[in-house]
Amino acid sequence: MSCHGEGRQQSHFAESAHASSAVGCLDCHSPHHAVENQHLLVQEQPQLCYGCHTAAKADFAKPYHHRVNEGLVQCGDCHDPHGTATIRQLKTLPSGDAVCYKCHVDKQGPFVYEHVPVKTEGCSSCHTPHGSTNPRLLKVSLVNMLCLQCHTFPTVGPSGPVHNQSAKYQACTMCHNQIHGSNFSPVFFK
Amino acid sequence: MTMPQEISLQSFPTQPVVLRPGLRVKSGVSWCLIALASMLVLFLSSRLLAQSSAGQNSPTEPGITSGGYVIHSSAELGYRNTDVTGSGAMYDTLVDLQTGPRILDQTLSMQSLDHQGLLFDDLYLNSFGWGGEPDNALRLRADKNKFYSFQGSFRRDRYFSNYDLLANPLNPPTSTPSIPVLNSPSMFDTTRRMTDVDLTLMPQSRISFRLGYSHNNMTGPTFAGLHEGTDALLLEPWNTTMNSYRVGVDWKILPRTVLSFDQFLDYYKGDTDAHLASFAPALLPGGTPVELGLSIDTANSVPCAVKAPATSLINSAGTLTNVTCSAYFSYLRNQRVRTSAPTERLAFRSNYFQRLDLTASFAYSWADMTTPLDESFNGLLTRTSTLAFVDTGTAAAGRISDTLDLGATFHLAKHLRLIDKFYFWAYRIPQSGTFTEIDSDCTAAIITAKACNLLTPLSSTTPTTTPTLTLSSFNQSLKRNQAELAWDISKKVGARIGFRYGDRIFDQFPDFSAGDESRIVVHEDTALLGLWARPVHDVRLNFDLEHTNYDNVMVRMAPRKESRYRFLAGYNPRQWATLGGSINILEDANADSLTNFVGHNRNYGFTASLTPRERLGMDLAYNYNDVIQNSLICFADTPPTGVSLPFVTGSTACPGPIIPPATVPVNPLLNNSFYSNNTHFGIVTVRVKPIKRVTANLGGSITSVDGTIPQFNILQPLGSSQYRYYQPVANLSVSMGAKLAWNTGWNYYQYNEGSFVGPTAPRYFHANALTESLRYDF
Repeated sequence: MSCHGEGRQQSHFAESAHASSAVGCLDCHSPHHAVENQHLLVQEQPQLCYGCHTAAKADFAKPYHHRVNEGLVQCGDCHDPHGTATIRQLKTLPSGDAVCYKCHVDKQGPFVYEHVPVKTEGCSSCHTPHGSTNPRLLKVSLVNMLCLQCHTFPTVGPSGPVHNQSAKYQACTMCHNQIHGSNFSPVFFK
Repeated sequence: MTMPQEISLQSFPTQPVVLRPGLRVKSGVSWCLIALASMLVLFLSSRLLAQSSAGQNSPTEPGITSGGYVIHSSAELGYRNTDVTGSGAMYDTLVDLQTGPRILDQTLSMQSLDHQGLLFDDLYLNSFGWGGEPDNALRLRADKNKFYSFQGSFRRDRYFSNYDLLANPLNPPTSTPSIPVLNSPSMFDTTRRMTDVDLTLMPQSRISFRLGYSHNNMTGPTFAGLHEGTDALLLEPWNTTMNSYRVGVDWKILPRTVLSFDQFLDYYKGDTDAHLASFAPALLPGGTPVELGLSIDTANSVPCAVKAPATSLINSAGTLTNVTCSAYFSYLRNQRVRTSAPTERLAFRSNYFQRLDLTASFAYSWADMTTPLDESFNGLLTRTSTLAFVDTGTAAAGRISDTLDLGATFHLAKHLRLIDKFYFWAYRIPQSGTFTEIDSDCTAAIITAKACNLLTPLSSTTPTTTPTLTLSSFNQSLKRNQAELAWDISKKVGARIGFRYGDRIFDQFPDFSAGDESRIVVHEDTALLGLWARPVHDVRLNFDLEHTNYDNVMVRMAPRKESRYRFLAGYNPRQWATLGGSINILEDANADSLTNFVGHNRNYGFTASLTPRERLGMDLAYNYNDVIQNSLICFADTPPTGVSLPFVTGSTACPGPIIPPATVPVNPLLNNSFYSNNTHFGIVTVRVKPIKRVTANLGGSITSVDGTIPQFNILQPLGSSQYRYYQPVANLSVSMGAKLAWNTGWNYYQYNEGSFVGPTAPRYFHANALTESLRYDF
C-alpha cells in the first residue's frame, strides 16, 4: 500500500471488510505469478471471488441471474473489493444512488410518483441481486403475495387491494406495470 | 509444443440469453471503440502471422517479440447448432443460445519490452460473443507509463423474457369464448448496449486529469398491460438512452495525500411509447374492429357478460355479441422523458500520517426530469360511460442529493487499529404534475336509455375537462456511523468488534395541505463481530456476525430484527486439492402483532477442486439454500362456486377497518402467507486427458427447487416454486498442431416444473446445443 495507498480505488481499503478479515493484497494479486495480467490477479474474476464467496457462486448458477458467469457483468461492477464508504463493499453512483441504476437507467427516476420501498429499502426489497430461482430475480415466486405482504391492512402502511384474488386481479403487475415509479399515475398504471 | 486451451464449462455458457442475427451498434463511441480494436487486431494479426514461426502461443510462454513488444493473441471461431423441444419461450428466457456462426473468443496482449513503446507500453484486448451470442463484450486497456492510462469496454446483452405466468390474468377455460393468455403480458425482447471509456492523463504526476464517457442504450419490443375499463395489451417499443460524461482532476497536495474534484453529467432520454396490441380482436356489427383486451372471463363479466340468446361473447363470424362492453378502438401514449443530472464531488484521501489513514468525499447532485403527457383512448369504459379521453400536460420532478462520507483508520499499535466510517446521504424529490383530461362521456339521457355502448357515436357525447395539479415531495436522509476495533492477535488469528449506529428519516408530503406530512424515523443499532484464523498455512477460516435492531420500519416487510452470520473455510490439503465451505445465514423478523413477519435465507455450500494426476481432474460443488418469507396478510378472495381453496377456507376474519357503506373489512380474510423455497444445486465436472493432444470434460449441474406458496386462485400453478433444471455438458478439445485446436462442446438443458401448467402454455423444454470451433493462437 505504500505505493498504491493513494490510489482512488484503494482509498477505502483500510476501512474495508476485506482488510478487517485479514484478506490482504497477495490473496488476490501476485506481482510475479499473475494469471490475469491486467490487474495481476492470481485468478480471473469471478472465479477468484468464488474461491471464498461460495454462496455467490451458487446464486449466480441459479436459472435467473445476473450474467457474471457469462462474462458480461463482473463482481467489480457492483462491489469494490478494496472497500467503499457503504456496507457490503457496494459501489454507489456519484449521486449516492444504488449502483443498480448504472445499467437499469430507466428505474432511477426521479418520478412524480415514487414507489416508496424502491427508494427507501432499495431494489433488494423485492429482488435478489445475484440470482434467484424465480423470474425477474424476484424474492418470492408469486407476485401478488409479494405485493400483499405490504399492501394488506388499509390502516397499517399503504392501502391494501380490494381485489378478488380468485379473479384476474391476482396478476398485480398486469395493471400496476410501472411499479418502479410513474410520472402519470399514483397507482403506477402508466 | 503447446497444448490447446482446455475447455471449461464456461466455454459453452450454460445459462445465457437472447440472440438475433447481426450486430447493430448505435453509439458513435462504441463504433470507435470497436473499429479501433478491429484495426489493432487486423494490423497485429498480419504481423504475427508473418512471424508466427518465431514465437510461442501460450500466455505463460514468451510469446512473439515484434516491434519492441511481447505479443500474445488468439481467436476462436465456431458454429453452434441448437435443437429445442417444448417451450421456445422458456428456452429463450433461460438459455437463448441460437444456431449460427460465432466468433466465440478473441484475445490480444502486447507488453513493451523496455517500457519505451511508441503509443503504449501495455495493451490488453479481449472480446467474446460476436455474431449473435446473447452476451457480447469487448474490453480494452492500454497505458503508457507516465503519460496515460486508458480503459474501455463495450457490452451488448440481449434479454428475452417470457415466463408466461408473470402478470397473467389466468383466463378461465369456462369463459365463452375461452382465450388463454399464452405469453406473459410483461414479455420483452430487448438489447442493451453499454459503452464505458475512461482516460487518465499523467497518472503518476502531481496533478493528473481524468476524462470519461458512458453510453447506455436499450431498445426492443416490450409488452405491458393497461387498465382502462378492461385490461389491454400494449406494445411498447423500448427506447432509453443514458449518456454520462465525467471530468476529474487529482492533485497530490502532500506526500501520500490527494485532493480530487470530479464533475459528472448524466443525461437520460426515455422515448418508450405505448400503443394497443392485438390480443382478443372482434368486430362490431357493421364491421368496425374492436379489441377486448387481455382478461376474458365472461362468467365474471370481464370484459362483459354474454347476453342471451348468444352463447359466446364473440360469435363464429368474429362479431361481438354484447356491445355494452368495455373495449378499445385505439390507445396511444407518447413519452419523452428528459432528465439531466449534474453532480460535483470533492474527495480527499491521505496516508500522510504514519498512524492515521483518512478519506473524505462530498458530492452534490441535482437531477431535473420533465416529460409531457400525451395520451388518447377510444372505445368504451362502461363504469364511467366514457367513449374517449385525451390526457395532456406536463410531469416534472427533481432530485437534490448530498452525499458525504468520512473514514479514518487509527493504527493504535502495530496490530491494533480503530476504524471509523461515517456516511450521510440525503435527498429530496420535489414532484409536480399538471394534467388535463378531456373525457367524452355518454350523456345522461343516453345512459338512462341504456344506449351507451360501443356503437354510440362520439358526436353524441359532451366533452368534459378535468384539470389535475399534483404537488408533492419525497424526502429521505440517512446517517450511519460504524466504529470497529480490529486486532491481529497473531499471524494465525485475529478479531474485530464494532458497532454501527444509523438513523433514517423519511418525509413525504403528498399534497402540501395542512397536516399531510408523513414522517417516519428509524433508528438502527448493529453489533459487529468478526474472527479470522489461519491455524496452518493451508487453512483459512472466517466468521462474521451482524445483529441489527430497528426501532421502526418504513415499509411493512422491513425487519425490526436482522441477524447475519457468515462462516467461510478454505483448505488446501495438497497442492492438487482445494476445498472450500461456507455457511451464510440471514434471519429477519418483525414481531408486530399485525405483521408477524418471519424470514430467513440460509445457505450452506462446499466446493472441491481436485487434480490428483496431470491427466485427471475433478471440480464439484454442492449448495443448499433454504428461504422463507412469512407474514400475516389480509386479502379478498371469492373462489368460484364449488371450489374450495385451503388457504381461503383456513382464513379467519381480518381485523382491518370497515369502510362504509361496506359492513365487513374491505379485505375480509386473514391468514399467514407463507413462502418457502428449498433449492439444491450440484455441479460436477471431470476433466480427462487420455492422450497428450486430447482433453475431455464431462459433467453437469442440477438445480432442484422445492417450495410452497399459498394458493389464492384455483387456476394458479406452483410455477417456479417447484421445478428441476438439468444441464449436462461434454466438451472435447483436440490439439491439431502447435497453435491450432479443434473444440467441440455439447450442452443439454431441461426445465420441468412439478405442478400443473395452468391456463397458459406449457413451460417444459429440453434442448441440445452443439458447438464446434477452431482456436488459433497467433
